Amino acid sequence: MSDGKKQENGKSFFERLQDPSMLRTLFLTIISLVAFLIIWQLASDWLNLAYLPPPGRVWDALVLSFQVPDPTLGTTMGQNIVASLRRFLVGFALALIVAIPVGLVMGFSRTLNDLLRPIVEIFRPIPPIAWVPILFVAFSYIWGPVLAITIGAFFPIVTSVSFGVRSVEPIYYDAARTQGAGRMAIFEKVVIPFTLPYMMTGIRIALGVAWMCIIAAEMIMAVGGGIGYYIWYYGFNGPYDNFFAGVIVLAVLGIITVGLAEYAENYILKSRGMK
Amino acid sequence: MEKKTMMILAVVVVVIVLGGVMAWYFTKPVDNGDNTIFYTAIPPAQQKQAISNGTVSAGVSWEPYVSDSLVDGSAHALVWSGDFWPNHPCCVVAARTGFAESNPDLVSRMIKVHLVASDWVTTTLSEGPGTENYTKLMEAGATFSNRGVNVVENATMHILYETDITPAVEDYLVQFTEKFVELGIVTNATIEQRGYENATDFVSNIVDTTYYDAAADIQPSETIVGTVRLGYLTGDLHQFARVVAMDDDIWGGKSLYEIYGIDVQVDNPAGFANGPLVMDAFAANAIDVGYLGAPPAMQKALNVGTDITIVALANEEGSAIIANNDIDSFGDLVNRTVATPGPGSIQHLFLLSYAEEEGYNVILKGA
Repeated sequence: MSDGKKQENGKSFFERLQDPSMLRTLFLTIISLVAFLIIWQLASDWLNLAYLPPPGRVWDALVLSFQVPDPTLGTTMGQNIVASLRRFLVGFALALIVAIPVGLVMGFSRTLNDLLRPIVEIFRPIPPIAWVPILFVAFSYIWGPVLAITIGAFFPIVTSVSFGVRSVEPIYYDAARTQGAGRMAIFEKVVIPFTLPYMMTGIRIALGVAWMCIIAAEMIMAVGGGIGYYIWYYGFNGPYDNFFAGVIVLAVLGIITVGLAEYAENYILKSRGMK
Repeated sequence: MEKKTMMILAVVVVVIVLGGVMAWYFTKPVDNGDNTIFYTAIPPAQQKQAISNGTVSAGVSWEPYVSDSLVDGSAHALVWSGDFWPNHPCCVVAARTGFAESNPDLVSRMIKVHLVASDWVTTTLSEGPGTENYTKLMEAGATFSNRGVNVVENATMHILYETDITPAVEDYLVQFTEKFVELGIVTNATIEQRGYENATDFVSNIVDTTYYDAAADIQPSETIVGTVRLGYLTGDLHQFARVVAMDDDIWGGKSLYEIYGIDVQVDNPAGFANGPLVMDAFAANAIDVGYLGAPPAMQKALNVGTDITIVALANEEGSAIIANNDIDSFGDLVNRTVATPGPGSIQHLFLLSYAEEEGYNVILKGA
């Protein structure tokens, strides 16, 4: 790790703001969001559609949803977020535990790859939502919803990890072998570090996919409520103000988790001198 | 290098442990005193399994889902909706208001078919097993609901195929609307915003019996008078009259709709999964006439502003709270969970209203 990199890493947010390219990004982001809100407001005014409430009304519904328990569903938005985060974290952790080793062995061993790939390829295109009733019946209401998220997050991680392992150049293996490294040592010293960037990319994609599965996960028996349940209920029953309020909350949760993953990715790669 | 790998592993372990703790927290039972019953939203199709494997202790749904569990003995009925709310309306026939206003004759024809078929169902059921018509009725029901004849037979015992929106029925609709307000599903502000003074004013506006009255004079037609796009619920035996009306065999090679000069077009023959979706089909201008539960029709007319008119009743009663065999009475459900189709449904309303009357409090499980 060079000193220069360390310094950059240590810069505060405000120090980095001095950077013209950073300012430009910030400026364009604000423009983008403001333009989006204006178009939304105008579209809502002009079209006057029941299913497109103006941003102001959605904002009111959003604020209210945090202040008082939802009269219909009985939970506050805060409780919904906690309930969904629990499902999300447990489901995602399970995906990590299963997908990383599977991806590593699939990338490392040709035999295991040939054995596992057909199964992975059979299940990969099935939308997690399709499994929801089956998972509910098979694993009941705690693990059923959690596994819907696990399934969603599993495939991007497996694919990127096994791809990462396979893209290790043969010359690295040869170099390690000539220095007397065994299979385990090669795995630890060559394969894992080389795969790390791919794995982090896979995790970042998987985080997005896992949030997409939250509605599937909470379609049946969402104990303690949940943001997916909230969106699902209001999408069907209205008022749509609440539906869009739920969508905004989900969007923010998605941005925060993916942002954290990006931060972790940068940190890990930088600290290992890969970036 | 190894240190970093270990750190990552440590993070993974921490995440797993946290997950485990959360899963525990998630599942630990909460004591809410001695008069709280929990509910959770499970679609009727999954309720039987959830009751029989102990995921929930009870469920509330419509036919044939109730009879599914009753016939195979995995559950028994605690309360029938008809015992609590005698002759309560359930499913209705609704028309897109724009369509009804420009095609009053077609709407009356649809109602005429509905009346003739409903009468036929009621008469056939009262004649009982053994007649040719009874066999045909049961077979039509079995095919439509994808269930055995014994389930259909059991289901029809608790459904009244009444079509007339009487003042008593309207009173129920007002009562339901007031209950929606009490539960916060609909607000008084919304009722006013849609231009109604109160629940009574809303119901008298959304219900229009003139099409029903005109149906009395409708005669069969040799020629096709017009096309009507129809929507209904998947496998719902409350809407048996429609199934019967569409059956060519029962009416001698022609559907009852054809006999009365209607070209019925069903773009979604499998049916819609629930009432809110039928309302969406109205909003999307995809159907002209639909069969659906009264609560979703009224809720979405208010909350979303979908402009429909309720033109006839499809059935009365026909829902039940059923429980697994460990539960002997409604009071045994304290601190246990009941599955409902969701807060917007008449079954949910039934559960809450019944529990309230019996002195129990119903809250979302885990909330």
